[in-house]
Amino acid sequence: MMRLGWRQFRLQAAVAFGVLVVIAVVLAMTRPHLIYLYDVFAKAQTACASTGDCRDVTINLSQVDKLLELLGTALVAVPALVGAFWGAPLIAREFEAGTHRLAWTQSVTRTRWLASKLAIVGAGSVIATGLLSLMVTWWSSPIDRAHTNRFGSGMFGERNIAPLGYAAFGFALGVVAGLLIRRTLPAMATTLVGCLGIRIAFTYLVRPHLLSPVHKAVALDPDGTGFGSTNSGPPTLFPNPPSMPNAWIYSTHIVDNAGHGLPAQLVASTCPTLGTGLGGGPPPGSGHAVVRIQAPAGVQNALQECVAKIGASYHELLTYQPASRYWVFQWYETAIYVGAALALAGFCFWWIRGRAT
Amino acid sequence: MTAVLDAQGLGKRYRKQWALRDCTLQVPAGRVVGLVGPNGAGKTTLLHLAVGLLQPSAGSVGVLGARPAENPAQLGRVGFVAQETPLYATLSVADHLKLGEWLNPRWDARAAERRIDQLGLDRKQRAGKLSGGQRAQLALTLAIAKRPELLVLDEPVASLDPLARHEFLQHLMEAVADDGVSVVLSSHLVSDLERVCDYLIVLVGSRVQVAGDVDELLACHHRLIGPRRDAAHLPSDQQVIEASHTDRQSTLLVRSDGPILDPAWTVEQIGLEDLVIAYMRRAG
Repeated sequence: MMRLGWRQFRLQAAVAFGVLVVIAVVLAMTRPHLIYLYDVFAKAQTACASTGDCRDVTINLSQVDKLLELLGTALVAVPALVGAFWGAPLIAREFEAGTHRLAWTQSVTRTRWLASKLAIVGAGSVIATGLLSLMVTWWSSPIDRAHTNRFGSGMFGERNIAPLGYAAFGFALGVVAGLLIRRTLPAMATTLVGCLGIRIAFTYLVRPHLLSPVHKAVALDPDGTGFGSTNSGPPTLFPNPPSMPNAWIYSTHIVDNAGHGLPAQLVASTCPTLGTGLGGGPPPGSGHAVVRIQAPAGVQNALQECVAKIGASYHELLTYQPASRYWVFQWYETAIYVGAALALAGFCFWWIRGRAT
Repeated sequence: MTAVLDAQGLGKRYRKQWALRDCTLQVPAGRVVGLVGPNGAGKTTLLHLAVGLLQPSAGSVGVLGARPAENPAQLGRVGFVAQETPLYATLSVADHLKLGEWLNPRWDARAAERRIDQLGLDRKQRAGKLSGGQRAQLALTLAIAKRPELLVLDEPVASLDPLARHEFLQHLMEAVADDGVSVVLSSHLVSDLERVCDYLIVLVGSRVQVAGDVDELLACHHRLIGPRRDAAHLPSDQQVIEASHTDRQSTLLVRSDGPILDPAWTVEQIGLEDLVIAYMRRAG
């Protein structure tokens, strides 16, 4: 049965392999220049750090590099595509053509038939996505080192091992959709939508709760704190989180030692002059939008004094995942998606034994 | 002797609709069984139950003394050609033979190759490009080369032109003669089955109307033509299947195990088609 499974899959496997080879060649050809660019960038940054003005230090990425950088982001769609084009038709196409009646009446049980198909095409899905992820991770490592934002969207799920979990899940979801819907095109559409929907929901609703975040108190930094006001209301302070490369910062709050937030009235009473001299409030008709205003030097001094006064009894509370947890999150995420894929595969076996006809 | 097909109160229900019900049958081995009935009568359901593609909702079905499709060995004992002879459109003729070889431990490669040669099929041709007749022949080849004890064919000739139909049935009969395999094949046309079957099952409205050896069925069914009379006045061993009356004359199709003794009747032999149609009308 494995041989039949491979015979049915080998053309698609060859196409995918060809695409991967082309991508590999292009990435290998462009990477040395990319490394050079980022080396120059890093040196320039070190040099300018002494003068304190690094505003003119930029990287001149070529159009090709920018395009390839997009490839990394596009990796977000690959598991959904794998599910739609390899998973969904796996059984739905047999149902549509009636060939399941041919396959299920040979001297091979349905269970084995399904097991071989899942093993071959499932492994193909995971391997292809894994290779792509490996290449993208390798190629974009200079960029990622400079960005220091490994948890960021378009980064965390598109590097290292997490895409393997997504690929397994996308494939299994596609197979289940094909098994239940029994028609290829609707099953493909369902897989695409389902895959992306679940990914988004997981990213925003589940991933932040996989590990409880770390809290850290830091003194208010007069230089790194801004202020603003909502709709001409009392001014609010906006602390800037300290530099924590590759950490995942959930929030920054200003609290006192008992953990109470900073009341807006307190800012107004402590610093009654804050915001005067800005030349008027926000333009009329800006509604509920938060308007941040770059203050002139005089106002900035007033703000720094104000922050120093408030900083006597209040501090900044950071809620974040430290950078060292990156691999824990990668493994958790991968394990959860692989687990879900196995559960879906189990459902396929149960369904095909008793209910499919 | 084990029945090739043994159904006891067999039924299949889809939601609230019975596709087949109260089916009790015993088909002896070594027969070519014709399963006849109009479209939608439940023929495909019965065949799918027999090859294990469907699970019964009621009763039980045994094939060659075992539960259909219960293990690979049992699957290997039954060859099946599904309706519209499904094949993998992108796979070639040669690929299909390999498929049969890979999936069936008792595969007879030489017989399969010989049949393909006889049929003159191009081994490199994709199955999707074959004519209806060629598809049916290839599907039959796959089913025969796994050397089954029972061959089940669901409307194998329905979509074939008369010549292809003739050739298909001829090949089927050759295989039966060579291997002594039992066959169950369905059709909505009696004429397809008349030449090849020696056992008949008439299925109408999800119920079996009559089943038996063709010669015995023909021997015990008669057409009686005589002066008009009420069917209720016949001897008790004569069961009226169909009756039609004019003002003065009655024509009855009766089933009677004994001879017809009443001299008032003119007794005529009937053909298989008449018999099937009479049962279909009665059920309708």
